[in-house]
Amino acid sequence: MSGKAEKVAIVMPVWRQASFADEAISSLFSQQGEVDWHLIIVNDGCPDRETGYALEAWRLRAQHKITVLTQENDGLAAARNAGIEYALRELTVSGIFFLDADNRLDPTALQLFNTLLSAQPDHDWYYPNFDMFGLDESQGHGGEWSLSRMAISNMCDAGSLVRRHVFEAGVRFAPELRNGFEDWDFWLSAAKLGFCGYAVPVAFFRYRKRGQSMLSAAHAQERAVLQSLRVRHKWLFGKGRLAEIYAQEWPRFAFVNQDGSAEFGDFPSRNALAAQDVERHWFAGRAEPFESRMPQTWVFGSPEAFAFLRQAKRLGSVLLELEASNADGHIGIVRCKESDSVALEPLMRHSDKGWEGIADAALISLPARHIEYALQGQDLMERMTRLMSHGTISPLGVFAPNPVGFATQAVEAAASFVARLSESDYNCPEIANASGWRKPASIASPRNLFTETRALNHGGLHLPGQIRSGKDIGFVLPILRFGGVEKCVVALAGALRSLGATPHLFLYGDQAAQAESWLSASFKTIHQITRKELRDWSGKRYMGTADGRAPSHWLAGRVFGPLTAMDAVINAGCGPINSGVGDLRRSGVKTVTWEHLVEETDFGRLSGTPYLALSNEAAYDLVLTCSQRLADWITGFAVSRDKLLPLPNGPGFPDIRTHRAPRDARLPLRVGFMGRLDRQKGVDRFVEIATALKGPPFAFSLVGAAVVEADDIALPDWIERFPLARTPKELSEAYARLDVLLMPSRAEGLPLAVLEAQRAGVVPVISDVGAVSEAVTDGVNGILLNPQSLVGDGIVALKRLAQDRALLHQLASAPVPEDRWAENAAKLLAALGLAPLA
Amino acid sequence: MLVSPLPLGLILDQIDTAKVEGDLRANIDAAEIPLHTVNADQDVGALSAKWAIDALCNATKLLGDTRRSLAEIRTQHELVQRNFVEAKAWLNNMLAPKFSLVRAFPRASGYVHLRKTQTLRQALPCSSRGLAAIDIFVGEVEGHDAPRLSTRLVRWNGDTIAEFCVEPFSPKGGWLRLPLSQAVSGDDEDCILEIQCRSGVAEIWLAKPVPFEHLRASMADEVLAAPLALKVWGGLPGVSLPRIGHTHATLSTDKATYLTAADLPKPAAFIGSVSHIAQQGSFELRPDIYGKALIVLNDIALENFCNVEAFLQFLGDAGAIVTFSLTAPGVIKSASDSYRLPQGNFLDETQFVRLADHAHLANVDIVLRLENAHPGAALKLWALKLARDIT
Repeated sequence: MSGKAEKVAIVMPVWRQASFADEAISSLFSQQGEVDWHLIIVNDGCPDRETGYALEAWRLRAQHKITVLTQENDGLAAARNAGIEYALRELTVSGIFFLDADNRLDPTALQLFNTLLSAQPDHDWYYPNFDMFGLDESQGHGGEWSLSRMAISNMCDAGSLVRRHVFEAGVRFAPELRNGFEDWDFWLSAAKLGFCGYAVPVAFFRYRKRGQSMLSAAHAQERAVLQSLRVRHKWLFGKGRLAEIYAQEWPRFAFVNQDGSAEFGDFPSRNALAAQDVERHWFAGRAEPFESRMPQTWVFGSPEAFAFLRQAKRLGSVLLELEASNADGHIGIVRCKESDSVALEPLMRHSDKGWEGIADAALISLPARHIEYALQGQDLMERMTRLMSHGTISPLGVFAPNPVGFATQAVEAAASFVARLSESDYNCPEIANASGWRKPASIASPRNLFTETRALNHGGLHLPGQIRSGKDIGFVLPILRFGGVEKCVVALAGALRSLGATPHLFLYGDQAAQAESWLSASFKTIHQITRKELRDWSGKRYMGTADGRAPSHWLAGRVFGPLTAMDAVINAGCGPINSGVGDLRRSGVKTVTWEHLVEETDFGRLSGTPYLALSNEAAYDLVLTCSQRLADWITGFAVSRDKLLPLPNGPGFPDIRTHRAPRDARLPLRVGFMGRLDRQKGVDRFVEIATALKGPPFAFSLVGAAVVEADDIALPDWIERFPLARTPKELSEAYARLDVLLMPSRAEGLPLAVLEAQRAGVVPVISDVGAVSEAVTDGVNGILLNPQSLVGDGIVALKRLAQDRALLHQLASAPVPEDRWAENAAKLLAALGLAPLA
Repeated sequence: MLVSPLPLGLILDQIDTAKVEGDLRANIDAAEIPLHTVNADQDVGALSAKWAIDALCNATKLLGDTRRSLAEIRTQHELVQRNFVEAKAWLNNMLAPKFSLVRAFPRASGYVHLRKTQTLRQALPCSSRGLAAIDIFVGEVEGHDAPRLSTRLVRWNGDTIAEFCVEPFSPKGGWLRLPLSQAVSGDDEDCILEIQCRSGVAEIWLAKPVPFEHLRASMADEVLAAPLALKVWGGLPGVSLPRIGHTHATLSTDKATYLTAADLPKPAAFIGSVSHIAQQGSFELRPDIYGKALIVLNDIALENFCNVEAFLQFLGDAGAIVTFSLTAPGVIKSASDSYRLPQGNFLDETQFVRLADHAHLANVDIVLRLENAHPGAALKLWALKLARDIT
């Protein structure tokens, strides 16, 4: 060591421990080497007379080295703060060390402080390993600084050396935390300002551990104190921030190539570690868990498999599922299957221990501990058997168009990786001898950290690769087809994206999603879970409408974990989400429900998701409606207008109006029905009207399919049937085939089909329900039918249009409805506080 | 002689001062009581106050000194308590040397040449407390002078914790034991083995590589590929060890040597099972379901006519019969040869015991038999004491 010793202040609060303080102070006088220190003793109003005498006696021994401050009893934190203020005001010190009165410094501690201050200039505080005396115990806190680890377990005792600039930035101990963990709070406050610690690889003070102490008292009420700590540090524990920091600090996945090289991170990135470095990481992690940032989930597969899933926008979902399977101790595998729609469905689990059963897997993921167990085998055969012997195999079926064959590359990569590790020089029993002699503290390994972080983040982490934009908006849909609600979501997402927000889609349901790229183009990421459990509407009933059932604990992490990465979550009809929305909101995520229509049951009772919005209103920050009328309805149920934001629908896909020449009156009037073929849409009424008007003046057609439920309605053969339009192009073509769109619905919101028909020059003849009248003015841009006499009125209206083609042309030429999505998006962003209101 | 309470000082006028003489004066001086003669115009009050403050300062300083001494005594007391607790379990109960393998890095194929003035450093993955000896694998280099090494256990800043004794070693190379005069006492500390070559060139062997740099040996600023091949032995803090391991020197009546589990071959179990617990430095026998165990440590090289004492510990709720016997090599070849052994000794529940036998040959088999033990009981063999005369 060279150079002048840096001056360090030692702050030591004393309360009722005068004799222990003697030992602590003695340890300062026993320091070796060239050191410069000043001890600030804060007598925190100790009622023992002995304390005053003792401290004065020490002060007189070295007046130039010791200052004694005396204050009314105000707790440990306030006493330390008093010492800090004195040191900043009166002394020129480089750092402050907090020595509790019952602890002792090692004789070389101050010498070490000097070394640390000069050799580690990029760190802001220095925390040691703990060697305890009294109740003898040694704890290791080694490893590179990690904020996520600090959030889960207090690695830094107050007995750390802190650089002066941390205090100058205003970091102090919180006097209100009188039940302990004030030091934990201090470090988190420092971390909030961007400061970071450094794990000193040795111990430099002795921690007196007794059966009962302030710390043991704090641990006794740990739950309550931790909760308050998490509330105090919402910046860290809220909005999925901890999970995000965890993923930045600890790579979640290792993507292993066939040559043994591997990429650590959220996605394969072509930035592979060489095979020997992977080996070193692996075995370092085994011996000293925190010395190596080893991923918990090891994924094997070909680049083609990753490329396929990436192109299908489902790689994140697949990895999340693999990670969750591995966390449960299972071997995750992915099988890709040909389909014209996209679904991620769990396949039958099995415990076939042979490799043959998974040879065709596109991806295989193995928990790190399975690999560890396998390496204890004597030969490769035994190792491979051991690898498969724990847990079941949890296959995930990825159904998507055009999967390529992935042969047996995943299995081969896994086998060659295990073989390579088993032949490593490091793979010997003696590697255990390389472990440190101190035990890890409360978080024993990165695996525990992973588990704890997931538990604090609603049971799951966010979608791999999700990078926050600050305006991340997640739409939760139960289904993704070319239907009304989905088109609204896609249109709003597109508009939000053009305003700089980042929309994400969460598909939580039991049905495959339509694969058309138009539907998914607006979303930065798509997370899909296809499970029957997510279409379980058997929850509690609110005013007669059953809510979605809460996902099982096992599934909840996969469902809610990824939502925590959002700034706002918009629930567009997914019932099971309601159970966890309150927790999301409390964690700082803005929660929104988007309501479209009040439905009617077969017996005419009102029901539908707006009732669930009423039921769960307290958990939502905002209620969106597709019309002013629905907003009024909800207000009528005692929801504050401030919470309501009507976003009137515009056409559900971009298109332009093409001029239509009047059709020859001799040609039949083309009347069509478009949408779900169910009672709510009135397909039975359509058939009734069509049957009444069957004849040359009319040509009736149907475009659609049963989506949610298959009502048993007989459709006559003579009504022309077209398949469901799946794309904007097909839909435009469908409108081009019609003169009139007949919608004899029993319940509607503000139907997109009306707006799209008007834009396409098709005259809507529609039941006056829901907010239809906000889009159709009778006799101006369509014809409204009285719902009570719908069939008769419909027949009359169609006959009239068939005869009066001028009227038909006039109605078809009415102005194009406004595309309101850009305006809606701007209003939404402003309401969420993500953009100023224009 | 003056008795308490003593005055802080005496303020007298000239007449009275003259009267303080003889024994009175001598006693006042001996008690360090200041005596001041005043004139009429002097402020007696101020002088009294100054004396009072000085006296208070002196008393406070004395209090400080006393408190510091007390603090040091308490610290020492804690250490003694800790040492004593550890020592008591071993010494008071069985008087066997504690000598256990703490950590080991077996020798691999690499080595390094350590030349004169060069220093090799190896961070140890264990605490310094209780460290009793370190084995390194070392040899001479052909064509160079025989090396002379000095070895120390040091702290992070180079301060010495303890110095090892270096005994002459085999030129061909082999394990060299570096013992300490007594196992390290004091607090647990991170420590480093430092080997300096005083003269000649030493060939020091390395272990297999480890994945961390901080555990690899280093020479000057160069970090080697692996740690040193080494064995770290633990004893009782602050306690010196007797001679441990096989000795080539003739045993005298007053000198004994001890063989610990680490010095003995792996026993063959004919009945029951046996395991080597390296961290404890013991062998542990477990009986079969019939309550029997029989193990043989084959072909142990001893001296003719030497006494061998086994340090045993029986763990179990009820007693058992234990036989300790030295036989000619190969006498016990299977479980059915058990009848050849002499009658055993009954041991009460959970106790330490020493059983002895006499070696008539230079090479013997050491046999341990356990009978009538409850399943779940265990017999530990801690050490063997080899001596000419057992007292």
